[in-house]
Amino acid sequence: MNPEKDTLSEALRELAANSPQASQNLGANLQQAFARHHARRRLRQRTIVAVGLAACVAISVGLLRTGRQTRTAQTVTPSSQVAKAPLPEQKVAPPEGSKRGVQTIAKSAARPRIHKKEMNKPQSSRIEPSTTVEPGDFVALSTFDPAVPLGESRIVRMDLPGSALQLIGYPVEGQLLDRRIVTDILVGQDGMPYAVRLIQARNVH
Amino acid sequence: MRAGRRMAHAASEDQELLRQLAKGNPAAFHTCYERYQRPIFRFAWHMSGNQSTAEEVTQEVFLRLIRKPKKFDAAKGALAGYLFGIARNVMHRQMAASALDVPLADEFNDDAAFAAETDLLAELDRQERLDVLHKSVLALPATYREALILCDLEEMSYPEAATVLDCPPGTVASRLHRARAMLKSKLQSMRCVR
Repeated sequence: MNPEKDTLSEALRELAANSPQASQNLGANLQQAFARHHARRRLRQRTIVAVGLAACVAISVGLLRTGRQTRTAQTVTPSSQVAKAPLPEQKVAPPEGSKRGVQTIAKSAARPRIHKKEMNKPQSSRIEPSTTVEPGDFVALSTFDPAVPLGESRIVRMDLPGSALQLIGYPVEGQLLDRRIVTDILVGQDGMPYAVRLIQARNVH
Repeated sequence: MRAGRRMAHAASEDQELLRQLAKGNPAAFHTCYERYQRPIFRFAWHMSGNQSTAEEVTQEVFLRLIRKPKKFDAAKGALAGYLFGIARNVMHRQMAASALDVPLADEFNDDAAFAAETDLLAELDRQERLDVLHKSVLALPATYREALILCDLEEMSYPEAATVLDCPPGTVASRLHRARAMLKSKLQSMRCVR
């Protein structure tokens, strides 16, 4: 080993060992800077998560709303049995006292469109046609308010028990209560049944 | 323990330390600061000769570590080397701005320096000796000074210093040899003045 070199190396090591240190403030300041930086970072992350969640919720609500509207439209307008009623042409007959305050709606041009396939379908073996009911005028139910514009009302053809018709306010009497009745129901824009027209009653075996 | 030795010991811990630091663990930052602030400050102080500049450089190094801990790539070297690299870059900018660098004249006599250096250091008392040595180191050109500080003061190996200085280990060796020779020459000239 070179003694001169060793002397210099030792002197440099001593110099390193005796070098000054950074002030205490520097460490404290850096610790604070570290805490501040990460507080900001966490806040930024939380904001991003919150905005993301809000966006997801908004999108979900939008999709749900769209889906619900679509489902409602599908429920109200089954393509084979429902036709839009040309509402301006409808006439509502004046209320008749004999029919327990139920209004009748005059025969309108609104007739449900029924596909030929369905018309030609053979009747179920459990259902027999009956001759006791003949198609007539629409009879307004208590839910019908002449002051409310009918707007996008629809006529829905349904096969219901007579008791169900009684429940929605149609005056069904006697034997018809136990029978199934093919009925046209005028459904308002708000989903409420406004009027009923009986088409055909069937005996159920 | 000095940075060079510590680098070998702490290399495996550095990544975990940085991971914790990136997650915002204050204890990890404290450990990191305690481990590296002295070598970084010392490097900056010997490079600049100025306490406040050294503090600014140290602060800048740790602020960068706080802001972008994921910039450190363990595959490229140890954390100490990475931090020294930042310190060196910051130092170069500071030096370029303040024109602190006052290089020695390049002419020197190797043989004469070797003979004189021992005598001068032996003659001076401890504090004087350290002052003279510090001023002599400070008077070296930056290229040689940083090689001397990293290898002789921080006891880094040539490959470690080469990573920091971004040059081959052979270049570090030759710069170090030249730096030592220039330092001896400087010490000799100071003795002549006295």
